[in-house]
Amino acid sequence: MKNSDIEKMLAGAFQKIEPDQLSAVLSECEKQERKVVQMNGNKKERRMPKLIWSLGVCAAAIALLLGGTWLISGKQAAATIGIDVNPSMEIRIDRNEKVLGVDALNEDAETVIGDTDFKGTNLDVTVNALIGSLVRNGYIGELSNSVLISVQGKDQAQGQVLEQDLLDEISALLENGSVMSQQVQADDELKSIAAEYGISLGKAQLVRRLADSSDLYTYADLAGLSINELNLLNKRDDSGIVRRLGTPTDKAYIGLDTAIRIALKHAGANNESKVYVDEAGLDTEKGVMVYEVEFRYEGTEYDYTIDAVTGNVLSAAKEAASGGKTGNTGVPNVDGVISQDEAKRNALAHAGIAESQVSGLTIELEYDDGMLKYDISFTAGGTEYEYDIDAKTGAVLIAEMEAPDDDDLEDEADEDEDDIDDIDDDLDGEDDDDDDLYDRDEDDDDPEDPDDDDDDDDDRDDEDDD
Amino acid sequence: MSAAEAKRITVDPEVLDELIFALAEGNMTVMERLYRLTHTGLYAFALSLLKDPHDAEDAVQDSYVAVCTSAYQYRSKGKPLAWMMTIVRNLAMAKLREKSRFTGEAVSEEFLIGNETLSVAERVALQGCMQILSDTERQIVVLHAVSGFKHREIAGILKMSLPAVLSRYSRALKKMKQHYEKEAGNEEF
Repeated sequence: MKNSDIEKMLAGAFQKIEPDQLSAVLSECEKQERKVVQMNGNKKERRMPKLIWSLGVCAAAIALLLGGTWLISGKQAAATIGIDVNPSMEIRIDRNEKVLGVDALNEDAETVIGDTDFKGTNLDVTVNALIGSLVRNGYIGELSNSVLISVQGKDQAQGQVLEQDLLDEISALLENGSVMSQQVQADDELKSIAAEYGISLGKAQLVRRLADSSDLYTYADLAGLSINELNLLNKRDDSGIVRRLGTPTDKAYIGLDTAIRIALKHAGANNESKVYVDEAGLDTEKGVMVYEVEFRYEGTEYDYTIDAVTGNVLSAAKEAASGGKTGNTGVPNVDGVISQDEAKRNALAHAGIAESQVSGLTIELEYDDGMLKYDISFTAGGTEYEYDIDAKTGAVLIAEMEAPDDDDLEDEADEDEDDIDDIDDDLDGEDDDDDDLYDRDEDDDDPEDPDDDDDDDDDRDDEDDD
Repeated sequence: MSAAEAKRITVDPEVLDELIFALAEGNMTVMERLYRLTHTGLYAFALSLLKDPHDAEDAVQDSYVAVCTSAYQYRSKGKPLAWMMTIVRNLAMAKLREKSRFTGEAVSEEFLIGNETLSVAERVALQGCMQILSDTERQIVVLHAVSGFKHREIAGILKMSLPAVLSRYSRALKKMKQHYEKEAGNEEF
């Protein structure tokens, strides 16, 4: 008898004697599934697959398999999570938040994903791994720290919970990162924008949002920018559509103060105290990040576009300032400065004056000694006040007051003229914390020097000295 | 050779993979198909490990539940059936450890009772397999004969070296043949 015959007999025998366990097996498996569903109270602990789409971030680590992946074609994902930095990828998940696969939408993403097979892993493990890879490969770092998370799923409410979880989780992962998140509704226009520019749906939605909210940008302008650049440009609070945690880094660029300095120098605006800045900030033009600087100087309005990375002057324009107002108090639009209101409040608080007592208030943003300041003037109770407020910090840099016409008043102790230490000529605009603020103190009255003429500390002339 | 030639059920590993992945997504409807494709092999292996039909039945049921719940951890390496057999073996070993308190029991003949459909040849094969072979030999032969595993795969499932599997396999079949010849004197094939 041949071996194979013996084996055939054996196989046949087993086929005949095997018990029918089908219904028992089916009901046991069913029971197990239900037990798992009930057991799962704490959404952070899930060990077993669930029939119900339920959310939560599982902290257990599962080893990732390296190597080939056996793909099942036509698997319908319950949701897709897009991750955009510069690399662009999408994670497809099933109802139980198990990863069906990770797709690279561009070449950079292929580098990030590498050979790893994510199929079957938990979502947060995959997200962890991808973020780690993005950092390791240098796509997220000091010069560019923004990530865009786009959730596209069939169930709205749960998609939003998932989005919030991811936003928190990734923010925690990245120490100094800036994470943006959004739900994506893929309408036809979005799909065509994405297809035309070769970008993900999530990025297309962000681009469309930015372009729609500003008259300045077209889709073409924005589609080629990185997420960090889009993040920098997305200045307004847009939390209805795109949520954001953290601040995008601008370390890749020369910085606003330097850009302003370059513009002023180019324009020959040498007397900085006569410079009034109307607008200054990061922008984009022709696919490149630039600083736009608009200022007035001696009756002329200037408009500069400066390459944010190289500092090259890309364009410069000027025209005579519109007639009349030299003390123009139009609200300046400058990145990273406090509002006019805040500057005004600081000045008034320092002077101990209520706004109602004030008349003739002017406020201008100027560029002086290498930094941005608010130049504030007002009159109250017959006294003229002049303040310089640091536009970035709100600190009082210079405070002067003058009672007009009445020299006798100078003899009175509490109406000393006031010379304040000027700030250091520091391009970073750091305040000299030793600023001697408005001094009402009588003690300083030196009988031999009632006008404090011997003070040598001033760097600038006190214009109101008699 | 008897006209009732048994056909060994061979399962396409790609098909099994797909079913297991479906299970991982919570799709229970594939369970029946999975059962039909794999049950004979699982039961035979369980019986070769545990020798007792009731124990084997329990182990198989537990194995299918374990397959359901571990499906999400399954990584395709092209060997889904081997993965399932490993689950069976683990469960069977656990059961044996439980029972090791009891003295070694004689192999019950229960599995032969109540099944009148077995041909003579089939009965002899089954008897020989369950009563003549050593435990390891039995397991190797069952995996090879019923599920069609290659020796290398069997070595993986049983955690043995390939040479050990090969030598035991050939010894097992020699014993089976001898058993057949002994029975030939008593029966007609």
